[in-house]
Amino acid sequence: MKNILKSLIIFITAASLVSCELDLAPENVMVDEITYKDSKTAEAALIGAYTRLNSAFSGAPTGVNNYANSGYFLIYSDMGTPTLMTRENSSLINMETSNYNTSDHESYILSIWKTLYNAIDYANNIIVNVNKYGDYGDSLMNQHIAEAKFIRAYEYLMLLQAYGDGALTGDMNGLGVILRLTPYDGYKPEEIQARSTVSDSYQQIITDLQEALPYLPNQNATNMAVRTRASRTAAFALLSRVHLYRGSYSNNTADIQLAADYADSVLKNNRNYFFSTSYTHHTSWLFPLNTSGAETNSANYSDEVILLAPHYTSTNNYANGVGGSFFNKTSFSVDNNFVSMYASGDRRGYFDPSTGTACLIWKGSDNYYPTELTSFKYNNANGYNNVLLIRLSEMKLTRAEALARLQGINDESITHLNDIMRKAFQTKPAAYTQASFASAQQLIDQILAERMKELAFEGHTRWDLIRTGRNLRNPALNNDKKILPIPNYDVNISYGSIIQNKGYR
Amino acid sequence: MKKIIILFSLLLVSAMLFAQDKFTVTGNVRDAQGEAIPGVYVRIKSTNVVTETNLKGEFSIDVRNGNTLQFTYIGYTTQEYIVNNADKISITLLEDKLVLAELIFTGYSTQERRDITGSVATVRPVTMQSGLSVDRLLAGQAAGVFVSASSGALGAANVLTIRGISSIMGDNNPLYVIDGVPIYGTNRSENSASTSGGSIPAYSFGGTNVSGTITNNPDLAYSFEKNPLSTLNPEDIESIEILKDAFATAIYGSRGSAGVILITTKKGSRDRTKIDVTYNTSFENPVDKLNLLNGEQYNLIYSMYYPGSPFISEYNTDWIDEVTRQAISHSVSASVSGGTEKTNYFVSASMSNNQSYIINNDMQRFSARINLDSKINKITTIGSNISLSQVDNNAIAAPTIYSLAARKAPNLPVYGDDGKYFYGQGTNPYGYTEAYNPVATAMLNKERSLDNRVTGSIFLEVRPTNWLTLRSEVGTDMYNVKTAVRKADVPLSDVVSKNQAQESVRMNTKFVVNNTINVAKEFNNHFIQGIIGQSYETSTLYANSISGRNFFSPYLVGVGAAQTRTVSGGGESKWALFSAFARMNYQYMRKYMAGLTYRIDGSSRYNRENRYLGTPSVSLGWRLGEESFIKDNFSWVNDLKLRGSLGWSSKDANSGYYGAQAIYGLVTGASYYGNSYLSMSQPGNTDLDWEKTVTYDIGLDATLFNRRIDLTLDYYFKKTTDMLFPSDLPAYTGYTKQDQNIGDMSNQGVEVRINSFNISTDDFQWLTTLTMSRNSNKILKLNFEGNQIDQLNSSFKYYAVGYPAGQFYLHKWVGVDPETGDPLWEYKDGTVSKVAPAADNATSNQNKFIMGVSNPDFYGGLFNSIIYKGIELNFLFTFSSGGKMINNTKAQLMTYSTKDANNLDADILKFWQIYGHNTGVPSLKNASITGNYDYTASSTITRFLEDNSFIRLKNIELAYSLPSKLLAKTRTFNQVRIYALATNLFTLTRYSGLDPEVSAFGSSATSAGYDNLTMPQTRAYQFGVRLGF
Repeated sequence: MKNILKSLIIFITAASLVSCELDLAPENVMVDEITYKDSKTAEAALIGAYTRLNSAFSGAPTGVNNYANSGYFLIYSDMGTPTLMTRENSSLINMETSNYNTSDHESYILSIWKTLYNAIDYANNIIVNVNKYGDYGDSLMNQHIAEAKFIRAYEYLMLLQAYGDGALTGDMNGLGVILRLTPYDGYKPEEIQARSTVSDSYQQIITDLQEALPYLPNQNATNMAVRTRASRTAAFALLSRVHLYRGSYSNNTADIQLAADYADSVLKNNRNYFFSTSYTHHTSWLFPLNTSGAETNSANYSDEVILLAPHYTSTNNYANGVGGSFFNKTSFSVDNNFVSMYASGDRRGYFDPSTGTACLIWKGSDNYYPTELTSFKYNNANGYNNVLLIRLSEMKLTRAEALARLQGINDESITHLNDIMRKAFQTKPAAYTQASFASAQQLIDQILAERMKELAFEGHTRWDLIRTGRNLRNPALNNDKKILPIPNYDVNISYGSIIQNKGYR
Repeated sequence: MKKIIILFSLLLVSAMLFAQDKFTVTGNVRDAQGEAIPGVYVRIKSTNVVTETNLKGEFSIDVRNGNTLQFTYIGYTTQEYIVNNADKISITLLEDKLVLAELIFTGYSTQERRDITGSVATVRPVTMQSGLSVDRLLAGQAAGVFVSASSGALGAANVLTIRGISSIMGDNNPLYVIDGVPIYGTNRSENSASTSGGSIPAYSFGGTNVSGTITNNPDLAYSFEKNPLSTLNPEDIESIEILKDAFATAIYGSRGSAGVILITTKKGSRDRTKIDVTYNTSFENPVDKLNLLNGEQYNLIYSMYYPGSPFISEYNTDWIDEVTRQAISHSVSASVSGGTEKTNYFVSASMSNNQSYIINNDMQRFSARINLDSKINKITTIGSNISLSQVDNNAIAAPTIYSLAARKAPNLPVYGDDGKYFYGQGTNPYGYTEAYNPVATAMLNKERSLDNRVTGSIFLEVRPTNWLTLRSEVGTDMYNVKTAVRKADVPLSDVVSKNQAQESVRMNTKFVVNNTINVAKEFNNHFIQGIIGQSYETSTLYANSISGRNFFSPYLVGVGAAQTRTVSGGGESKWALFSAFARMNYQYMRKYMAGLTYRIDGSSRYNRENRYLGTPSVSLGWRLGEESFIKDNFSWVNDLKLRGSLGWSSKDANSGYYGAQAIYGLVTGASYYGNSYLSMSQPGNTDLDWEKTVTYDIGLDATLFNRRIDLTLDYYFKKTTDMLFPSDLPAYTGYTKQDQNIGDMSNQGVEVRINSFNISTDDFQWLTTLTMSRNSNKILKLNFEGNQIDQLNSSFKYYAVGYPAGQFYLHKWVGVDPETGDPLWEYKDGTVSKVAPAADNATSNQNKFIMGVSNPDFYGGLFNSIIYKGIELNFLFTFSSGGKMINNTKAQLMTYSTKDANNLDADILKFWQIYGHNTGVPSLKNASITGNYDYTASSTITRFLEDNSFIRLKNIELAYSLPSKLLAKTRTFNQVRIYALATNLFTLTRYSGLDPEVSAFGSSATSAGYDNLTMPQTRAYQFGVRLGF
């Protein structure tokens, strides 16, 4: 009996030597829990989200499950507008006609869409997971979340511009974007999402920016690092752009007023973002004028830059994805008619190289189409150029346009217009005065023309044309055709839940 | 009170017995050889009066006249003896081969064969051993188990599938359990050792780019997949049980859907010390040799193909002959087993030294085992099974060398005029830039994989009463692998300059704790056998890998001596599985049977919400043979049982270590203004769930004609649902493809096993065993698209709803136009054209045809054992029908269009030459070698698709055992057996390659069907002797 008892005790002891731990944290793999727990990795994930923003806007390095595109969004912003001439044999030619075929749907139409959504997923991961797992101090956590919201807002605005039915032409009930606000975590067909309205899409963007504002850093931009990240100034600038885009077509006073106000608060910043009227500041500081891509000023940036994607840095460059296409002009070149819009002496235009004058339009690669023109804004075959996302000139032009719309001919608008117009001249031309304009519309048209000349190839032209009801390169295109169709891939996979844009049904 | 009642009852019974005419009989029990058998159970029929024979086989028992005595001993036919006043009885028990197979392991417990209601096959390794590893022993032996060697490389993996494939993305290898410990089994990704730089080209999928050298597809980079079962000494194995249907596998729940193989090692038996020693030596050659061009023919062909650049080198080297040899192997093993009243032991040790038929490549194995159990008191037993082994495989480069030799230009010498190895392409205008010399590669490189493994368990078993057993065991599998590759300098090459080395270490450690309670009780007409238990298993994998190059001296070997060193990986991964399970078998009147099994598993690989999986199963059985309408009317039926089962199972690990979680990686080589950043290498998928397989099985077990014929018949239908498959996602998720639980697939089949004692007399016995299996697989649901043309598992198979998984999807090669010598191709619309369909990228896939799968639909084995006195003749045929194979060896050796100018198959000499020439080989320059592409020798055309059905004489053995009378005189030997064994003696097949039983993708069932200059198996002649003391 004693033996039996002893055996049973041994047995029970042996049987209870069991611990059951099934939550095993991996040792050298970063999962959500580890990534967002402390500031170093969470910040690295946030920087990852910035690189995805770059990727969606102008192209970026590829990786598993991350899509590099060829800067389609940036190119699409000018392709089909007066600034660029597309080659007939280019795969992008249908951006001019808007007669998109299957292969367009499979390539850039899908690429812009999914790259943006991939970037949005990165932002969503930060917004949700820092909240969930973060353990590194509220202020930094809030800042990270705020930056991610800024990034998300930027990305949703891009989506809305390119795919939102009526988003730039005043149709608030049109179909906007599919709102994804939580990280992807598996997919069930029954959970397919439909598109939100344009109105709701704008609202989400504004909400994100408003929520981000209090927590965004508001540092003195005394170094470039500050300008590679979202800031309060950048959020104001983006808000200005959002309201301008929303209100332009229908001339909605409330939106225009907000666009003007936000632009004003950016212009009046005391954080070292300032506008210079020096022509060198414009041509060589904003955009490096040599093919190596090296910046010519020691600080590597212009003081008017509010946000840029640092593709040119002293170490570990990564390509921006558009450089080669501008440099080699293989798919497109800068339209000579557009170049002729620049007055003689305007360094944003073209100077004969023999004059030795630095200018922004030049001939690029000698190996391809040596007589055709391109822009120094992307100046080498490798794509090692910083890509500007927001700068003060845009805000000046927005402020000028908004005030002209609200108040008619006014001094402040004319001042901003003159600043932009005269800046790129070594010998400054005559300034505009109130007398230069017969009507408010004339002033607005002049501001818009200046805007195209100033911001060409920086991701603005198409959207400015659409929101102001002007023709694209192809005058036959109506508003419904000025934007992209939703990729057929998603229309098909949703069995009709995702509705195609009006112009492409 | 109870005791009093029992006592009273006993008294009553005794009184009744005494009331009759009682006397004592004594006797002895011996076996056919006249040896005493101790421990025989002697019982007066229909009473509880029993005794056992003592050490001398003697017994004595009180009986009355007319009583029937039953003599029962496991492994022998039960004998009855009617007592008729004789006071001295002599009984000879005959061995019963059928009964020998009776007690079988079913996972955590044993059952008698006749009580089984699931589908379980048992294989007991017969004396003939032809494989280094246990899985190869199963070839043709068990119905429903398809086994095929993947190559003739030593220690290489085999393909083994049980009842078809049950997963596309996952692994289809069964779970292996040795003495209760689930071990690290066969799994392609976990057992592949990189033989870096041994770049056997993944040939010409799609069309060969002829502008440069052969493009190596990194996804198809060759690696050596070893067989982790080669660490197990087959001599130690007592029996192998293969659990096939869901009722049988349900006890291994989440890991059972690909079947479970239970391996039980030998135990010592009480009172009999037994020593066995075996020695054998074998002589092996490849089953066949490639028929390649000689130097002169090579010069002819290439000079014709490159008219302006004559090939004039006059050497003639048969590179295959240069790198192959007759391999000689030795193996010796010894075991001692025995026991005392309390302790049983089995101790074995073995050593083998095997040569590969590739020169300078060999493999050694050492293994030792100790199985011990000891009764520490009346009810408690403790014990352990421990095995230690080491496999030192110096032959992992053999496949590379073989392939290099096959392709090396035959007009180049092995040695240059200076007597040193000759590298480069000599005067040939074209050739390999790598400039390898296969003989130098074999002789100078050191590529080695060293496995050290400890598998074992300790257990404690308590049996408080005879119907209850409590058992607790702790098992471990520590499997450490070091792979080291040291490559010698190749003087002319940029690829392998200044020597290279790579070393990787994988340390797998697994602990398993099993606690079970077994119940077996019979009362009245009810018999209940049940088990309830719990198990916890953790596994840790530590892996690191370092590489180095630029050695100062070629004699420095270790990677540490390299001047440039890189760490390419290092770290731990863990998983754990927590399980609880129960099984209940019930029998009424030993006729009607029902079973219920339930297991619940929690796996760390899944998200918390989907972590637990329950796998229930039920079974029913009806022992028809016990019914009077059978017994009375069909006297030739000895036993007949109908059984059926239904249950669920799954396969853990098909979603990787951290499948459900989002994973980030640090981007290296780029920064965001000096800041490091992360990118997501895998988005999260908390929905990721288990693949589930439901299996229906109906079976019949019959023993007929005076126990001469034993028949097992099974029909099964298996349906896998929620199968992982990469499927399209809406792009608005940010991702376009992810593995989803989306597919459904079915397998159904019939299995037959017939075991027949054709002749069974004292002097002459003839046993035939036939197994046949048929399986058909079908994809029921795949993804949103309904089909998939992809590089899944890197094997270029096509998947579509309504078709078996893993289709060859190929362009149709019609033949050669006798008028022009151009290849003719058939398009989907029926037109025949000289333009290769692959040439048009846009329509290439649309013009492919579904051409069948690699898995056979019908396969099996036929075993015969004929024994006349001491002479035995055993032979095993295996056969397989309906499988397809891409003869990529041929494709490679018919490719002359690349700048590599590799050697070619002699068939190339049949190339089309003149108008009207009817031949299968096109003109050297033809319409399908166009621009930069050669479409004539692609692996995705029907030209190289062949039927690999075969019948093979797998083994034939002739043995002689010395008569026991003679042995008795020696007083030393119990057994002396001398044998000669031939393996793969002949093969009937229409397959034109060397060996229909190879696979370039190792153990992967879904990627099988490519012969890619894969080493053919060997034809071996083995001679051995087995001594028993």
